[in-house]
Amino acid sequence: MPAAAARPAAPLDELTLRRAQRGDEPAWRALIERHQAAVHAVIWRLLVGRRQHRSEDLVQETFVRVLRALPGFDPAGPARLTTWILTIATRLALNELRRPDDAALIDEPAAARDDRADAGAERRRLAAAIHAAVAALPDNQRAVFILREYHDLDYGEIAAALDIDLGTVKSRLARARGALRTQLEAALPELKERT
Amino acid sequence: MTDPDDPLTGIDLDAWQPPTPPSGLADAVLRRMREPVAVPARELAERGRRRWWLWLGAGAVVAAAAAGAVVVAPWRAAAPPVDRGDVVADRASHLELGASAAELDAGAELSWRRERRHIAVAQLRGAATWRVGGEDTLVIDAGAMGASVEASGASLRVEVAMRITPTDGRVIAASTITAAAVALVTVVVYQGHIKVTSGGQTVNVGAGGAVEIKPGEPARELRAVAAAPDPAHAPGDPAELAGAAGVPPAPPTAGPPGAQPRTAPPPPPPPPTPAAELDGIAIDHALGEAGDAIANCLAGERLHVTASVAVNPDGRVQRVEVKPPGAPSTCVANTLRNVRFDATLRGGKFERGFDGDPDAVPSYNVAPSALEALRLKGNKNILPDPFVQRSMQGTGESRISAGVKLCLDATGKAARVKLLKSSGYPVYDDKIIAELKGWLYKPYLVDGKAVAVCTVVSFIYSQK
Repeated sequence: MPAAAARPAAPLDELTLRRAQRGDEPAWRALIERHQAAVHAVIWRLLVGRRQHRSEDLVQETFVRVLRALPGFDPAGPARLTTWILTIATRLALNELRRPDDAALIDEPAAARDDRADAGAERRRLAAAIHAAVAALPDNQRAVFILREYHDLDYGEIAAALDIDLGTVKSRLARARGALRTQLEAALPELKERT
Repeated sequence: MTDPDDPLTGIDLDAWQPPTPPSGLADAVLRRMREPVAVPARELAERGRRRWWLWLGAGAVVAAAAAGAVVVAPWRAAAPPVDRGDVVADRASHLELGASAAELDAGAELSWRRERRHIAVAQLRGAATWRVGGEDTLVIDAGAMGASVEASGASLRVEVAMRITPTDGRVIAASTITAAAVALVTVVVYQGHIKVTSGGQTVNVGAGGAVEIKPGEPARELRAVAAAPDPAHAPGDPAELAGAAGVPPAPPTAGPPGAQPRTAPPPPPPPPTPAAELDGIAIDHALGEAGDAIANCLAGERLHVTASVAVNPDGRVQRVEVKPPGAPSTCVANTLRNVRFDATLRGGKFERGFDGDPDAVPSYNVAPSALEALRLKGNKNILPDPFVQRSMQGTGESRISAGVKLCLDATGKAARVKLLKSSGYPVYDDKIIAELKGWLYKPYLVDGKAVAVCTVVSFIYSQK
């Protein structure tokens, strides 16, 4: 089931979108502020364990490209604005991951191990385990998993965003979920006991 | 939407949240939006429809002002395309369009759109070398003047130069400027044949042919780039080199009968002024890539060699001569033969001297086995971490491999590590790179002298 917290923002109203397409700066600002959380989230998650220090640059680059291409976006077309923006962000992040890097940085997990028995400790351990497990996925599986689980894109939208077949989306998603389950259970044995 | 049989059901994936987006993002983006547009040529699909028409329209206005005619692009009323893009090449760039591709010179500006196998291009300014592959048909409106260049299975170069020329008092828009920007287009065919339509006339141009297009006028044949050198030109003249070095990949006879331009050209026009002849900067840029290899050829030698290099229009080296003869010169010549220069209208030639450094020690590429016994520190048995191992189980992969180029300095320390082949698991790649950076070898000796060496190390991990 897709995660709930980082769902894409509500659609931009039609008038603001039209103003943004005409180059109106306040409308541009509204568009950026409406979508920045989702764009930042997708890029940050796709770069997990690799180049998260580049997240900010790529978020900026995504919006520059979005705004430059916005006049050509057809609101009545097959793609939602949110999906279209996430597609651009995803492709930029995947391109970033393909770049060779002699001095690749390995980012630390978001939450360090914390054995304190307070209420948040368990959730932080789970976050760290998910972080590490997603980082270990191959790039192509990670992209499918993140777009589905955290951004609620349907299979068709993911296929279009990544330029792959629907069947490939399904198989990559199944593999990603299977691998994550295995890893999370290994990292957090209590998950196995619960289910 | 829920997915049935999701093995992650019951796991709170929301526990993993990104940090808050950076503040001031909108301001930063809006600042960048006020800057001039310059996008990498590889950015293909996300460009806007309106920009396409705006550019085409703007280019057409300029051309129309010059030619006194308003031009409507033939594809203007076409159905919505599946793929399109605008490109402003702020540096020499590669543009890939499926089976076809273009090498863009810095400053090239164009819009393209693909509809199945038909690619329509408005090349507004600058130079591009096009390769039309597969079953693609490429139609270029060069300079937005309504003239079209149509090619299939061909290789060609299109150069659009905007020339400011004095007019006879023609009024442009509301101003009284007495000069107009005239698009002058030069097309050179390297391979295959193309069809050029301009001023109501269509001509076929075969490999080795070249034409010049001006707004509203029929295409004019230029001297074929593969023609014999004109004895009237002094030796060393670029035009001579065009004859000597500008041999296209396919001979002119490869084209169908009548493939040569059919226009009856008036008196032969002067050769076009090339927009991108070889110059010092272009030479330095291309040689920069080979600098290390050339220095390596001459390392340990108290020697000055002089290389004479002729370059084809497509940027490939046509001829190299290095003096004085000897093994170092042969090494330099072999290195230069593999240098790729920017494509130019007619190619070019140049001479360049290189000095050997008697104190330098050449580096060698050696087989991994030659270094194996010299390793003092470092274990080749680098295992992926448990996450990767479990991920492999989840995906059904039983074997992964990675390849890394490792260069050692003369003392045997790892100086450079470069990933050549990814394992498919970035975390494992990173682990390999990090460990290799700490490897240490005994110095590799050549004739008793410690030298820098490079090798390729492969890592294979398999699960049963």
